[in-house]
Amino acid sequence: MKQIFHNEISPTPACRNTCLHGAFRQRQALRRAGTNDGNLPHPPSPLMGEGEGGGEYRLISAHLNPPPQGGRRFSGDIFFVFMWILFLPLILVILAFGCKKSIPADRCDYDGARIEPLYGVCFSLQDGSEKRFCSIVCASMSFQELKGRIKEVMVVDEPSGNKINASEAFFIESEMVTARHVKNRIHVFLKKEDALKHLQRFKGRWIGNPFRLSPE
Amino acid sequence: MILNALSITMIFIGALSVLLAIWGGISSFILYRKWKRPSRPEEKTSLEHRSYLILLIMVIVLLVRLINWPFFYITLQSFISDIEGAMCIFGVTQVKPGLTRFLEFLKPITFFLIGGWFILHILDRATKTSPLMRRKLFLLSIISLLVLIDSLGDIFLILGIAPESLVSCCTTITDILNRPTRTTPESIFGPEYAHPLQVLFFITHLALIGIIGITLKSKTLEITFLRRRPILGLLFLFAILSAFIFLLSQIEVFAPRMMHLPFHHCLYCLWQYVPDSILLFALFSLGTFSVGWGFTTALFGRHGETADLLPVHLRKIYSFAFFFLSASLIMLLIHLLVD
Repeated sequence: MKQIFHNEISPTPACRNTCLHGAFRQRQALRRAGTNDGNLPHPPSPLMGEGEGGGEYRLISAHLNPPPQGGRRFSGDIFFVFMWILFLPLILVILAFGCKKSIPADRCDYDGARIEPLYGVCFSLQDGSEKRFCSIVCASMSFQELKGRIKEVMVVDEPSGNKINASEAFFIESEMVTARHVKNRIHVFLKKEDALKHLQRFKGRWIGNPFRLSPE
Repeated sequence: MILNALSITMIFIGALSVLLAIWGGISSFILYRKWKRPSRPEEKTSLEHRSYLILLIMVIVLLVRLINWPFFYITLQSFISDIEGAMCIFGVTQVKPGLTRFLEFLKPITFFLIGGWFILHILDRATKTSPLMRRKLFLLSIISLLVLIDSLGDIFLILGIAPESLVSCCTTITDILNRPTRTTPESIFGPEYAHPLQVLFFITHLALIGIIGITLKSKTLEITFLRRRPILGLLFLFAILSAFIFLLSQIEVFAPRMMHLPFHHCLYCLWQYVPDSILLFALFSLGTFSVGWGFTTALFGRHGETADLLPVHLRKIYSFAFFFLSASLIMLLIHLLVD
């Protein structure tokens, strides 16, 4: 639709109520007569540029160039449909791949970190399933929640790398850090002499079994 | 400093942005001051020519800064293998926690302001007389300041992250019992807060989409400026509230479920283990920002010639918001149903 600027035509009686035609003409006439801008009626706001706040640029008359209501609605809908047609298949494809991704077997069931076999902990649950953790820290954080469903807790003897029952193990907290993302300082030993060696070497201290299933 | 292609690119972009933000910010502020009342037509023509150059260069800088937000996280992700103890971006953020947190807070604000400025720019370019030029220049000088801070922050952060730094990762911080994301809803809904929080999220999200839909279908965008502005302002406030609930529910309810790690509440881990969730977050952010951009456009964009164009632009912005928010909700629902 061709835009007709209001100042290109003569004012109509409707202008008094629907646009600023009258004010614009008045300002133009005063300017031609040599009046300073400061003395013009309705001076522009200091935040506005020339012709702003009631000046020339507002004069695309609303009643001469009415907004095409129906057309706008239609174009909005088309735009909307277009967006969905464009993006919906993309989203579905991404979702299809995202939801079907396989969960790696060596992932910690607490924080998803890769499990280093030497520091892993495994909970055997009563329903036959297993929960595996990357460190004593992650296992102990899950322990309270899972306590009622746990049948057996298996830990790894650090010197030999063999899996042992947590109730048979010795636990030492020392300066040595394993599983660095959680700063695990708790170490597991099957033999007391191995535990003592570690304790002396890394300034450790004895701690109790953090996975005690029944009160002793 | 950890040297890889991404960190070098980040520093290069940062350095370039610093220089151009200083030049662009000062130039746009000077132009803003001079634009007020040019005395002669020649002077006005000269100002217009200068403004074209400044706008052209700053548009490119701002576009780069828009991309910089996701690029920042991609760069941090690339550092994970070089930081001892980091298993996700959270670990990397712990090397320089203060600066990283500040940048993580600043980047969305900068992104929002740049986006809002671009919409004003597009609106202004659709006119014949550029009535928004002066406002654009003023806003550009403010945005340049933020871009400058943001770029300097990027450079200092990338230079400051030393390889082999030893950090603790998310498990020891995001999963503790007295984390604020747990205590806040717990204080409102009690110990079983997860379900009410989830319901609250769906109610606010659907309400936001519904209100935007009603706004699009009704004549709200065509009504007078003074009546439209408070409505859109309230809508923006509601969108911020919805974003807050979205974040809370993602951390406490949806992220653990999507990751299949019921006790882990780290969003960075979510992005790592469920990469399509990045798109979900991007859609939600763009949807929320679009609601804000609608408000800022209504606030700053009505001026002379733009008055007639504004409803059309607002309709487009809110259509974007409707689309983005609906798409993010659909993605989340499909994830929850499939998982």
